[in-house]
Amino acid sequence: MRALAGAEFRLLARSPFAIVMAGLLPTAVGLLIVWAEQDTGRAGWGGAAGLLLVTLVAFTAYTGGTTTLAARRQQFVLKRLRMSGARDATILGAVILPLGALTLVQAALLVGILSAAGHGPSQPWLLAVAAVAGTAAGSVLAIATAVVTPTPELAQLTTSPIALAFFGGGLWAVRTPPAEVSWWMLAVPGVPVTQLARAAWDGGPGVLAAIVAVISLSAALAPCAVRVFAWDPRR
Amino acid sequence: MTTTVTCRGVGFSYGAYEALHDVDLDVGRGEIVALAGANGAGKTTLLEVLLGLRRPTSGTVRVLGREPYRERRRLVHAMGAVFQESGCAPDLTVAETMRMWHRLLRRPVGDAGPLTEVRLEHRAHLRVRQLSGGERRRLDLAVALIGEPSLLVLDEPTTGLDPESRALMWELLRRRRCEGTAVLLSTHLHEEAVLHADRVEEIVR
Repeated sequence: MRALAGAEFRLLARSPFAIVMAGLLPTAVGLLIVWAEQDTGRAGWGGAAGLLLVTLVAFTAYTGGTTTLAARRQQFVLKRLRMSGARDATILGAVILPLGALTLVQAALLVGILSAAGHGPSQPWLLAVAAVAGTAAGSVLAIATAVVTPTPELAQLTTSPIALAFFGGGLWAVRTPPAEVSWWMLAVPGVPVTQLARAAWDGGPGVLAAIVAVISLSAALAPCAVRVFAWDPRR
Repeated sequence: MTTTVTCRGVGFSYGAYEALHDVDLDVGRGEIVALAGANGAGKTTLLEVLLGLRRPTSGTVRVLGREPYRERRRLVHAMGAVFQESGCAPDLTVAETMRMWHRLLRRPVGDAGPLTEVRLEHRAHLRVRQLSGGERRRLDLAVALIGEPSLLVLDEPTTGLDPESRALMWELLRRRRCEGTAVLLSTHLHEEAVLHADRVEEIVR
């Protein structure tokens, strides 16, 4: 795992522009939240942070992860790695690990900006759970989407529905009072992540249900996605 | 001669398309066997079945006494593979690629032997994408040699190589054969196979 992930981290580090942009996104939107919240105050700090968190998960962990897996498959790297002795799940996990780590760094930047503005979360552990569990769910969904993404060029199209489910779920959660978020709403990827982020600032009910929902999604989907994963571009 | 590879009645289908039908094959220790056949005859599929990447739909396959599809992770340290396509990340350097594979196969990282053997040590600082096609092929072979495999499975290893690189490849394979490594390779170059391999097996559909 360390050897594989190390190589992927090195490849990511060879794109300094991508790293700078990855840092710019949460910084700029974090400042926007501070400005917009002072201006409108509609979503609340937790809701606004939750919306940004699902955006980070959707862009970096999910869409980035899908594209990376499709690219490595097209380069025949994944097929070659199966001759390494590593488990299939380890190979896939190692390839997308750097993007997951980058998502967490982006989330930390966001919290840093909000805290610096005097609006940090009252229960940071809940935000940490939201970030880690959301990133894990985004990564597992990336593996599942890569199954049906034959080339990296098509990733932008194949990831659209679930990326929208993250954004739309976030908006849906923000517009719904915490006590009214139902079980079936929690099945939409963005809802439990936003629910947890909101609870990190404002408290409220539904924390356990949101944690169970987001962990269940990853735990149920991961083995299926690894089992049906297409390793060879020629199938 | 000790048998390294045994196939009996092996078949493989991609859905309704039957790629392999009733294939028998033996490869002994210290033997070079070439698989010849037309495009689409099933050479690559057979090699992938032997490497445990595909489960045969019929027949039995044994590599070093094990069933490759079920026991691939146990066998990988004993098998070296060169696929038709490189499979090395284009933006890693040659040295980084070798270091990663040494770690994956739990071999001493400082061992420059395989890279020296394919005469690529002077290109270690270059990224894989900067190598010529022939050099990439040699890098693939170097990666395949890292685990000191008992079986080398090579899918068209000399395709696209210049005469000098081709001679180097065959020289290396003959040297490995003398050390007891079994070599199974596919090729379109029938005359070359007849010249260098111990045996040529034709695959027909």
